[in-house]
Amino acid sequence: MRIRALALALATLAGFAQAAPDDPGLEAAVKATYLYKFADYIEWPAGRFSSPADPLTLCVAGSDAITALVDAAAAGRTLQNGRPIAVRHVALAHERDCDILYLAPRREESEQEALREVRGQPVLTVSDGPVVGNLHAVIAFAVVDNRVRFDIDLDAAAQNRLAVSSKLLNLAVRVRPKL
Amino acid sequence: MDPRNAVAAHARRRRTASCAALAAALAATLTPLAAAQSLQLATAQSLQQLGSLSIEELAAIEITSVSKRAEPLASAASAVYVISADDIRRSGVTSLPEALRLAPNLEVARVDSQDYAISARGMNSVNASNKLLVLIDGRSVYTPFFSSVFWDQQQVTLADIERIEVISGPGGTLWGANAVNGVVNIVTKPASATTGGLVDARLGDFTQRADARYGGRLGGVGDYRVYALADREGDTRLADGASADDAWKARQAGFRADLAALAGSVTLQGDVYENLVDTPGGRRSGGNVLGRWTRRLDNGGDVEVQAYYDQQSRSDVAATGGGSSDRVRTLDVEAQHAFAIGATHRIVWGLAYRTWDDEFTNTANPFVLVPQAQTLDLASVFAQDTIALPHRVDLTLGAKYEYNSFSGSALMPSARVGWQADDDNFLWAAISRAVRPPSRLERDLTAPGIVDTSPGFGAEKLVAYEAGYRTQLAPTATLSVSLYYNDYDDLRTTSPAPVTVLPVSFGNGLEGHTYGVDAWASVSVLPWWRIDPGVTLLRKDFHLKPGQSDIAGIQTVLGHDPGHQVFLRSYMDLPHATTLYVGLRHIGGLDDVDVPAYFEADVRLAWRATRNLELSLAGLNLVHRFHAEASAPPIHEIPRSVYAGLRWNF
Repeated sequence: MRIRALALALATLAGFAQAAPDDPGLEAAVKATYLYKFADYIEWPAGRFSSPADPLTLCVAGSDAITALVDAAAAGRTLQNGRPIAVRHVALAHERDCDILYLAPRREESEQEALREVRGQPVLTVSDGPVVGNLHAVIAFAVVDNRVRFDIDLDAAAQNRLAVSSKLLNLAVRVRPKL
Repeated sequence: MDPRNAVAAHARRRRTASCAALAAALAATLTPLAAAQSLQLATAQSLQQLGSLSIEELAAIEITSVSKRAEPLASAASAVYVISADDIRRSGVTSLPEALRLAPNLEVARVDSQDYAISARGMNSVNASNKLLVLIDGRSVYTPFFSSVFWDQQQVTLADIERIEVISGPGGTLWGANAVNGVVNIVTKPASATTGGLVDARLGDFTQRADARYGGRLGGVGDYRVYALADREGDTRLADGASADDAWKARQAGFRADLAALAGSVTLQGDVYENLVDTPGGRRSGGNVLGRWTRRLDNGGDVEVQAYYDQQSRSDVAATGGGSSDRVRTLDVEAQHAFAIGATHRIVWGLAYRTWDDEFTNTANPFVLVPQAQTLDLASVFAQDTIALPHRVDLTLGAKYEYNSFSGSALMPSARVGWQADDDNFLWAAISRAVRPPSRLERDLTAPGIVDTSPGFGAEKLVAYEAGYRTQLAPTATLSVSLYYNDYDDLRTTSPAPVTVLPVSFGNGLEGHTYGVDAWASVSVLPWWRIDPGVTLLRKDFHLKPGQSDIAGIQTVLGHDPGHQVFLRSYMDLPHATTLYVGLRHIGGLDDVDVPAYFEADVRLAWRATRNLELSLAGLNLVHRFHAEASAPPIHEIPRSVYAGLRWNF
């Protein structure tokens, strides 16, 4: 009897859960900050950067609370090795020359399409939450214990010829191993 | 005649036996949080500040969320003080109730070796403090026997506490029954923040305590920790100089695991403990398991479902023969959902169900509960909407409806308004209603010819009017001031029988009000020196309602409070990796009882010998060789004490 009442309550909760829009704020700001800080813990294939002054290109595709903040977050920042950061807002299917590509949530097909587009390219893909479908971003933000953390997909990293530092792996909530 | 004395005659010490505790509660009043985030975070919100953090620090930041447990404190329209993990560590407090002394908006009085009386905004005494809601990681710990907390049964590894949120004032709308005068929300660190080993040991003349903890990864799906602690607390002294013979020892172990599972995060935790009282013999034991599932929805909302099972028991041998035992089993299930509608509405709502199954036996004196065993059910639903109005004004409207199988329905609405006048100044005001349902003792206590059951005893009620101001006085100084006027009704009276006086029974014949101020500040005098002053002021005015009478003395219900408390805490970073803490407090004399005002000082000097090893020396209550803090007869005096501490991370 009690169990049934609880089940009903849960079903009601689930039903109501659909209606809420994004609540930007600190969470989005933390994620926007992560986007360029990840670069300190990723090794791109040799020759990707021609000189220390060659900027890291941080691309964002689509629009959400994170893409709205990424320019301000990266403004005036460099990587720990002094490399400058260039932010670009890119359209779908034009994710060329990106070192980091953040995919704002959108329809499943277009996410898969974007990931397929950069597959094998030395691009650190990042998604907000898990991507639905066969292809995964290298890093997917995950909120755990009311903190912004992330999952790392080493298979996706290997496909894009990226090496992920152990420090970043230690911070990850879940690590999907190389297949 | 005061039924309390009838009972006291059977027990050598007031609370040695649970039955004595119940009987003492007979003579007592009845006393009870919600918010979450540190002020530093609110100020660290700008991208500029986030950018200067390391990636580990970024991962540790708690994000603002719309759920009730994560409302940012900087914008909470209530009197909230947060005890940080750093303050707990640097002050060297030795137990959970001692840590609560760090909150300037609480009254904390040590009754004897085992017991504390803790309340907010008055009505404090070991038996009167029954209007405080205390949660440890979401688990409510007050006892349904008489609605207050057995503090000796609430141990937590101090090093694993993330923060303690202390709200003075009602929190009934979000937190429900018993959150009348205040809420204490103890939040431990997630397992991901406690990986590795820790030994935290203190060897002193009054307290000897050792905590050990080890945490690690769980195969890529999460983190865990396990801990164990052992504690021994020494004897206090009676007024005539004799030892109170109330030393006791505790053992406890437990675990916590935080997992990414079920499309969200899952927390599982549990504790098991046993306390032994040497003289004349007593045992407290218990355990609990709790599971919580939270999920951030795609649309930014949060869902949380939590369930726990808790069992606790106490048994005592009375010095005069016989004994008593009580046990409570609690099953609690709750769910909440928080979401936003546009940029204007942040809504949180939820459902909760709790069942208490208890039993009380007593052969030490004639006081028993009828029925001996009872099941109480508590069910509630709440909803709250925070509405963003122009000019940075937030209006929060909410209500909780609660059904209690003892006393029926209660509605706890509240209206709160907060105005962020500019970046540095925040003003708030609130009107709220809170209720304390009857405890088992108040309904069912009976002793032939002395006390009759009181089936008509109903809930005690409060309507609170509050206003407050928080400001950043300077880049290095903050100030918070809260004013309140609490209007109480239907407080408990001990009513005599017509003509014969005995047996007495309980009625709701008392009404009146309290008013006062809670204020505190934090000033970074120098980059290496912070000072936190605090003050509380309290006035009480109560009277019997027309046609009501009381023979126990209304102070038994109203507690014994200091008219003022003044705190000054100093935190210094000194050369050679040393830190010095000095905590001073002046507590006013208690009203209507012979416990005079006292001034006490705690000092702790700590040296970080290596990155992983800290050595410390501390002195507690250094001013007097003995001092009394609480009123429970007979008055126990707390000794000066010192300890040497070691804290080793590996």
